[in-house]
Amino acid sequence: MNKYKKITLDGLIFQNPTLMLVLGTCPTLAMIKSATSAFGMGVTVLVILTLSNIIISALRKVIPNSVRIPCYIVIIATLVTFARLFLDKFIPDLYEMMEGFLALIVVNCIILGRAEAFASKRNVLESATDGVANGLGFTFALTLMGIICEFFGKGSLFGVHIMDFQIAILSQSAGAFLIYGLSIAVFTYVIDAIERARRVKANKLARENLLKEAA
Amino acid sequence: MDNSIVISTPPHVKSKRTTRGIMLDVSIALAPAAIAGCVFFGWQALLIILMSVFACVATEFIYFFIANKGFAKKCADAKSVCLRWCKQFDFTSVVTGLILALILPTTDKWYQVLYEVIFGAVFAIAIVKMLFGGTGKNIVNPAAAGRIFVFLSFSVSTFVAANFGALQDGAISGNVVATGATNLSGYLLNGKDSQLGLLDLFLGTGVHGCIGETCALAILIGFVYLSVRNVIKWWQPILYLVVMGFTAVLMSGFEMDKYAFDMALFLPHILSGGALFGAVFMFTDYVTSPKGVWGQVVYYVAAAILTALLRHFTKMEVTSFIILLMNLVTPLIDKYIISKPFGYKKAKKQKKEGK
Amino acid sequence: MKAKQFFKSNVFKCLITLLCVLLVCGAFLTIMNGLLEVTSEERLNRVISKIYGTNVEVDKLETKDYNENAEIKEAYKVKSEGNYLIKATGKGGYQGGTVTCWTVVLVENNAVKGVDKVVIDGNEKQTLMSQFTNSVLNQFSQKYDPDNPYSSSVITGASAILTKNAICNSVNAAIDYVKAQFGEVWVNPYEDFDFVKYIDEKQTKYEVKADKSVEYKIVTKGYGEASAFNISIIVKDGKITAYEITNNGSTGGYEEFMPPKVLDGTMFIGKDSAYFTALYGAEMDYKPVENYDDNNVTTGATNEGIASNSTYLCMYAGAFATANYQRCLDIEAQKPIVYDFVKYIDEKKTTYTVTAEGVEFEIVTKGYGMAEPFKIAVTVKDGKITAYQIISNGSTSGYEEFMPPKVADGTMFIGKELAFFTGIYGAEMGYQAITGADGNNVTTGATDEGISSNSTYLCMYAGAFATANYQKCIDKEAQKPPVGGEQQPEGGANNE
Repeated sequence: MNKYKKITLDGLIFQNPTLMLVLGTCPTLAMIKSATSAFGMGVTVLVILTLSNIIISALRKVIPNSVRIPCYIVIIATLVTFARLFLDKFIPDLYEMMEGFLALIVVNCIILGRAEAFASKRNVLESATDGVANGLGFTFALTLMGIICEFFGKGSLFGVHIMDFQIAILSQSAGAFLIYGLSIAVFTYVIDAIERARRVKANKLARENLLKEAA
Repeated sequence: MDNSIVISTPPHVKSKRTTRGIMLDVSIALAPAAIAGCVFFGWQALLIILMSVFACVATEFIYFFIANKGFAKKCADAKSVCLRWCKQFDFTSVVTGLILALILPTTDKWYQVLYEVIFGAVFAIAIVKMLFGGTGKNIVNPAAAGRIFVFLSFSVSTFVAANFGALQDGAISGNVVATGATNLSGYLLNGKDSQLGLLDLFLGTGVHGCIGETCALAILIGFVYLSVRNVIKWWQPILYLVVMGFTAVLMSGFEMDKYAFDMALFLPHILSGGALFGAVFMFTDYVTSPKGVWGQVVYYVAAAILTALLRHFTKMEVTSFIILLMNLVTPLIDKYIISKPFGYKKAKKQKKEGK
Repeated sequence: MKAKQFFKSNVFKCLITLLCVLLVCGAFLTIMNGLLEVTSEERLNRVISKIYGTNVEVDKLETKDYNENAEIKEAYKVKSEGNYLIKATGKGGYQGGTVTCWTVVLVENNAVKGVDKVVIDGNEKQTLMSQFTNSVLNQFSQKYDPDNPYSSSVITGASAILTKNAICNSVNAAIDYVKAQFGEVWVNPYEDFDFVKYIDEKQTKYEVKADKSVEYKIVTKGYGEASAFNISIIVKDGKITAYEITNNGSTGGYEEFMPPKVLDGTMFIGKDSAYFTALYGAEMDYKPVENYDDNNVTTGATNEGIASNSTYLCMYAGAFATANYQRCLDIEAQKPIVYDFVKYIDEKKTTYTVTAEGVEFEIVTKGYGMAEPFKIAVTVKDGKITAYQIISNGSTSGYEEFMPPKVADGTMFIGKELAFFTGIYGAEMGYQAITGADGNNVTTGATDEGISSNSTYLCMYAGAFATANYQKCIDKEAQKPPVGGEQQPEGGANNE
């Protein structure tokens, strides 16, 4: 299939950084206590990931191999600092919610991992697509888990109080871990089912073709 | 020298013991505590016990059903899956349900505790036991984990479960829990003397706490029964309680500038809270405690010291947390404290043959 | 390595690349930092608009602590409305921790009108902060009482008493700070008193009665599990004559564990401060109560059946009352007399002497109407005037002749008491015009040009003053240690 479609699908579903590759668990666990902060973190990582992928991909021929890690870190750190300044100035509520974990995005495995594995080897457009796809996958996974945790843990949705029944442990990190694990299980099951269906269909098609040829 | 190699087919050790038998023994041992709980706390306690057992068994059944493809092929195999489940049902979830119920409190809002129990049961069985491999493979004591889940999630249970002891009249009502002076948190752990007489603590009269934990007499009956039937080793709970009592007395001696070793507090500390129940029924669980003797000694002593210390510093009932902690440390203890291999006999010194 | 080789080598390339990346990123960040900086002023505005609700301009004020239970961290005055925004850290929380709150203090007409909003900013060591929802915090604005500071009994809906105390301390400190801005600094009347450690100095009051007994309305502080007690004690001659607990601060259900004679106060009747110090030591330190009988408690080892904390607080109150009895009397003695009928008396110049003959007044009146101040010497004994002489007549010159003669020479007043004067002029001694006079009396009525009513009025007024305050002067004299000389009645609090 189309190169870009493959990259996008990989980033979004089949190699979803949170649910399949289990990367970047630290901000995940901290942020999914509330849906708004989860979404905010997701979007921030999306932006930073895309930008860092673009920049690193553009500089991939220039940066020599032995100093690539320090260079990548510097670039990522700059972007993160810029994001912090930006958020602090224009969206202070979000900034306060994410305060400490914003700085941790620098060592978020997703960003460094994609830079290493992808952006340093492919051209700018592909890297950008990959960044967007992974970022979207991350955001989607985080927001989903955030909604579950917040709804059952605090009885509210994006800050709007809905019900009084609360399972308090889900609004803490321990519960977040639980939901994370269960989400991975469910997600893997769904993906497996899709893959299996696809394989069965492909096998069936292949067998039919074989029979046709034999006939 | 007799070096002949003996070949035989397993099983090499035959015994009449079955998992079901052991679980039955444990259930019988729990019966006095359950009855005492119902006597003191009324029919609500009975309801909670029944609900807990039912929820645990139901969770196990549903999990088994799903995992064994009961839903596949549009429930074609449903009946055979059910039969399979009945054959391999080993009453462990019944015991888990019983224990879970006995370490939960009943309050005015007993109906809340009912659905909280369901959550606890699902967590205990489905996540702690079944996900990790079923009977014998749980990483921590499921009942303790279930209780902690409920403790951390729901506010009413939290208060009573945390503060064991005599509450002043009308303390628990509705959603506003009063901070009346409670025996464990208010007094014992603040260096003051127990507000409850020893006899009250022993018999559980007038003591407010979790269903099975209040009547020490009932728990002791269970302990004696289990020791006699050789289900648990008699010295283990005693070691735990003695060390915990001593450490607690030491700790309370440091409170309030009383550098005194007040032995009068020894018994109240042991009899208050979930320590007695935990020591007899939960710490001794085979799956989650170390295998060798020395490993077990280390396990119990460490657990005892930690319980007393943590109780002192957090002024709360922490036995279930300590159970969890020590269960997680058990593999470490097993690894480093070398125990006798199964069936080991010391090699006899070779006598010099001949001259 | 040769220089040229070096410049071509990998190492150099790496260094240069790294350096370039660093420089570019650094420059970028510097620019961004300049553009996107959030000044501390803007941060302050954010905090304020979050707490106050709207964005307002504020002046930052200097912080000063007026309340020992809390520390003022920041204080701002809203320019446009005059309200105050104060951040204070209240002490006395659970496990010795603190709670920091922002309080909005409403101000009207240069006085504290109330509290608008309390927002919790942070805490140390508290565990039950979730109990303090908006409905609890709103009570601060609803239950503002200018005379009584907030306390745990006023604010309901949360059971964490110690945390509540800390929050109340914080809010009260904020109010005290604002009050101090308007000059209303509370002066501790119990500055030099003995045994004040467990007495709530702001709420305890006492009154010295005419019979030299002192009636205390004591509010204690809490001790251990026991909360504040309200106790009424009457002390006379250093001994307790009445003792009543009006509000028992024992933890619920614990009143039964107090010795019954302490609970109803009968144990303390007739006791003086030596009794209390004998039981608890000269410093009145806490001791657990081991046993008790009808007359006494024995201190020693803790007895679970006796509420030692509550007993201690009751004993402490008793010690406070008896030990400071004489001090209260002395303070009262140094207070100036509150006189009756001072409206037309110049208190600064009026003097009196208490002698064996009675009280000799030298009264200087004020002016009234056309009459100027009079100076009159009046001697009162047993409530009746025994001597009356006008030393300097203040009538407009020439008008002395129009005064009734018996008034002018004072003979009309000899033997008269207060009832005489109030019988003519009324209980308030209000001005009336004179129509006629005879040897014993004057009649009031329509103005008579032939009689100088103003001067007569002033003379009558002086007589009323002397007779009415006779007993007060005697009492005052009795309170003072014997010192000869004139007593100067001070102006003090009696200004009209």
